[in-house]
Amino acid sequence: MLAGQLMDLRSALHAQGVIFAYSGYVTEPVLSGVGEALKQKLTIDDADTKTLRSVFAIFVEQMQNIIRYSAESEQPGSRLASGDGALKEIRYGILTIGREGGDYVVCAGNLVRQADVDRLKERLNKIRNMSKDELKAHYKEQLRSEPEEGSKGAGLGFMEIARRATKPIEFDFAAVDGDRSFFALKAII
Amino acid sequence: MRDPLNIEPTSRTPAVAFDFVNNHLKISGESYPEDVTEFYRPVFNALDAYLGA
Repeated sequence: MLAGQLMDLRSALHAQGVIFAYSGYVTEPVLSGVGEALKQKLTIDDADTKTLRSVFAIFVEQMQNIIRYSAESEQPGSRLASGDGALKEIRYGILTIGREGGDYVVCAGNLVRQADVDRLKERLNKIRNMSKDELKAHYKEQLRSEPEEGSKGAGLGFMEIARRATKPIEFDFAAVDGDRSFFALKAII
Repeated sequence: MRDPLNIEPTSRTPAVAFDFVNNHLKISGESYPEDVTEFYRPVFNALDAYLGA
């Protein structure tokens, strides 16, 4: 029973070509740790340097998107959030790394606020339809301008992913309830 | 005489060795900091001062 259940989960992942899967609360040390294992695996696979760097960079961006923006989070109470060893909020998401044919695939998913869905779709569609040259030009432009309100970085994450991917990025949204949707983003390298 | 800028590397941030006196500026290693702005702020400040920006 126990072995069967876990084995089914593993088989479902395997059937989709998944090599790494993480579902849960993501923190920076999780990113570092999974990242180290990913680098080792890519090195053992004898992936070329450009592929290794691209897969790794996309993995980092996808993990940081969950850490910063997932709309599913746990907040420490005020007693836990202050003083020595203060806890920060943690955010929930799912990330998989796998193979499709000769390509690597990095997928990430997390909940987003319904109010943000249209804006995200618009941005992702714009990026998806850009040529590599257009992406490069917009990347440089964004680098020099102020980040959008609500951004916790330079607003470059999606563009970095699109630039490193070898095929157009894919994304999808699924309504969960009135307030939130599940957002999935796939990059092929 | 401008002071050099030296930052030790970590698993996620590169070594920075800016020897302004000898015009030898080197950044080497991995770079995927938790907060990229915070890590590179002193690096860019030093570069701007060096380049007279």
